[in-house]
Amino acid sequence: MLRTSARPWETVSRYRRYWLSAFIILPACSAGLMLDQVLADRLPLWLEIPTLLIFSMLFAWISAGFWTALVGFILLMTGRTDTAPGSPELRLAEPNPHHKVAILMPIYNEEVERVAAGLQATFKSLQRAGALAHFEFFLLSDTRNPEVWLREELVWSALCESLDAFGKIHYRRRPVNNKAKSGNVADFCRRWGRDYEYMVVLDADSVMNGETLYRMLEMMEGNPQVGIIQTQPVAVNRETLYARLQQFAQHLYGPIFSAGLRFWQLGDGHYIGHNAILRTAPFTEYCALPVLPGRPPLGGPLLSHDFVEAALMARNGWEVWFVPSLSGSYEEVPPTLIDDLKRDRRWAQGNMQHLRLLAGEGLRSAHRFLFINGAMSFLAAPLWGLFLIIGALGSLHWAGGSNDDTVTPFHWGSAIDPLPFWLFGVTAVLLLSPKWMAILWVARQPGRRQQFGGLFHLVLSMLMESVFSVLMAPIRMAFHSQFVIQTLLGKGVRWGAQVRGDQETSWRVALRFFGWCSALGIVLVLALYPFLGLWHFVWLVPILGGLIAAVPLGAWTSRPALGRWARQQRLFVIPEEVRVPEELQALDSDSVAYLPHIEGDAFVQVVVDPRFNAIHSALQRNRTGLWPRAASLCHKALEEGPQQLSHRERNILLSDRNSMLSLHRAVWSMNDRKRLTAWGLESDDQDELIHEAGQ
Amino acid sequence: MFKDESSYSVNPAGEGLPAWSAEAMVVAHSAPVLARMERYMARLALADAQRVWIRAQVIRQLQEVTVDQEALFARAFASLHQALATLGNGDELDARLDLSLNKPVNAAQDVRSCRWLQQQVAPAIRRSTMASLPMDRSWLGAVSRLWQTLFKRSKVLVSRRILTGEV
Repeated sequence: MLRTSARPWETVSRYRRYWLSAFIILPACSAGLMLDQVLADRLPLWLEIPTLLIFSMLFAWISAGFWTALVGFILLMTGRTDTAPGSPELRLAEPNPHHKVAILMPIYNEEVERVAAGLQATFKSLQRAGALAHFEFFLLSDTRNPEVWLREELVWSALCESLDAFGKIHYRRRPVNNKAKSGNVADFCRRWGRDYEYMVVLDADSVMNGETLYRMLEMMEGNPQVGIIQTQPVAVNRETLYARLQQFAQHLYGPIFSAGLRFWQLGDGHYIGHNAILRTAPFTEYCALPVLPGRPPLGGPLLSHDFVEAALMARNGWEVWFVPSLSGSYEEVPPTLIDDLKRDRRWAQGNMQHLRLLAGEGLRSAHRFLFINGAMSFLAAPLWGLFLIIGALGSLHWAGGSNDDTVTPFHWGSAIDPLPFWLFGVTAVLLLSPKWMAILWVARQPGRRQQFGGLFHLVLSMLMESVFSVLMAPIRMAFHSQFVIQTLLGKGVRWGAQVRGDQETSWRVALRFFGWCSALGIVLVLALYPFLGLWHFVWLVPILGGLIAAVPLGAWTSRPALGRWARQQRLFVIPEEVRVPEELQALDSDSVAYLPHIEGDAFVQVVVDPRFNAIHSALQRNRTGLWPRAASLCHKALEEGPQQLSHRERNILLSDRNSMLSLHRAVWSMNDRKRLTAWGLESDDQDELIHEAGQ
Repeated sequence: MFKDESSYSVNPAGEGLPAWSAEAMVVAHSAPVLARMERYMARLALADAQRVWIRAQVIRQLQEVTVDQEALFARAFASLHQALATLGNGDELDARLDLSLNKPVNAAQDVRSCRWLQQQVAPAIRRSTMASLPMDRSWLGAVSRLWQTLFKRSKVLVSRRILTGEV
């Protein structure tokens, strides 16, 4: 039996989206018409039309953000969480004791101790909540580096031993990394999905509160029509100035945007790929990702999978809810501007690919809008760039035609039309007012105010964050434009591990990465100033200033010392720093100090150390097909030393139990000192003899 | 499983005493070999009694056969693993694994340690299929569907099955 009637929230959401569309389209058209009045007499048609088109598009783009923030602000100020009929928060149910939840942590060449700390924190939090019986953990490794792989195995066994969690924490390494993270999760679904009613997908740096996980389970149990529930993870734990700026902005402005987003989306919500619970059966049945025809970057496997998975889930009648009121969901942001831009490079390509799904049959309009919105996050940059270039050409044309020498920043003269100032003012309000709304909302709550370091420091932090945002906007614009152009020209991006630690950017690296931005800024200043004159040039100062400052901004904002200093001054403080939740306290490096460390070459250690060798060998199977190749590699390792083996050769040996046992026995049976030294055993034997001689 | 000193007699009453001089000879001639064996056992964190017993087994084996210097290390290591296998109910890998995981001595266990660890690392696989479903992505198709929706009113809002318990 199929359902053909609309669900209760659908009617509500339809009207809300009509209003949103009207709020976006009508002011954008009005602003375009106003600008047209200014430009009509001053610019030729070939400059006027593209200026108006791009301006209207960009105006619509920023006004969508503004209306979302305004709605969220009103909801939060009136203390009303949005509880439209059908909201999953309204129906909680006691979990069926037979329903199990798999908590998936896909990892790829990650810092193993950090992953272990996050997993341990979530595990203990579930234990405290008394909900552990429903949950099992899966570390799904796509790691290619044999050193990291071996550390993962050793840490997994130590973690299970210390938490008494054998059978509760599982580990699987996938030797072939087909379709990256989405392929990793799909592999879980194919192997074990049938045994788990739900799965919670985490990132390598995610931490979740046990109570929150249990609440999500209750929501899924109470709402059998819901396919995905997405939480709003908050950024925590970073120390660099850049990351602290991001954390602060996300904590301050995030809630109003989230509340607004939820208002428009309702059951057609989004999924960001982590910190969400998913119903496994429909996910397995409907959410396998299509491979786009053609070659990457615009064809081939989808690089950003999450939005598409949500769209496919909704396409098949399942609801996707974003529930920002679920607290206790944490993530970490990239520590530096460079790392952030590297992530943006992948997202840019992924979001551009989504445009090829826009006409997809059966997709819901809300998800088509999300595809456009995601792509616009990156397409807006070249559009801004184009708008500035056209604006500069227009200014040249205008300056050349007006012959008005009286125009200076301080003496505008009678020739200046006030309309552009109105448009500039409206644009500034659209961009900056959400920041003030967030301040007002926080200021209204005395407890919350203190969690941001007090009202004075909150406002000061917001102003400073705005300055940094303005300065970094042209840098992002330059890079995003580069990413879009690269993608359109067919230059793809490779899947790489993310930087999770607070690593600062050296001046040399900053110069190599941002040098071209600063050079571009200087060239533009030298080229434009003589032609534009002071008055027209002043308008470009924020943009050119940001570009010129790219190198020092990239280097300085990556400094953890500056971040710590800001914290001492109570700047960019976030609530989780004032009152640290238990899960985040458990991330302290001391919490995983007990985990075994591998000194030196991990491959040598796994061959030589009898305990490590036993754990690793026990986890492998005999790959008889590999034996002829493995035998020659064993011979090579013993004759020439382990250092002569490549990563690939090591991976072959490591994946075969028989080879690992044979190497272990052969190395301990060797009599040749030179070869023993290569395996780090000769010094051991000498030490022993010296020790005995001493006795 | 492992056997501690209560299970194994480290030096059963006077046994081996007649061979004391032969054993001393082996120890004297194979000092580097035994040193390496000691090093190996130290990494395994064996109990003292287990270590002494294994050492005795290795020495006894070396006593019984005459091998050249080249093969001495291999012979000694094979003996050591044989002794370890005796501790681990016939499998030296199981014995090493039990020591690595600090499992209690003589713990009752239905399956061998190696198999047990494999069961813990990943549950039994129950395969499902997960393949992407066909989807018409063409703009022509989209326009045609829009036309039908707007002018023929033949759209179906949702095609999901009604679930048990759903309102």
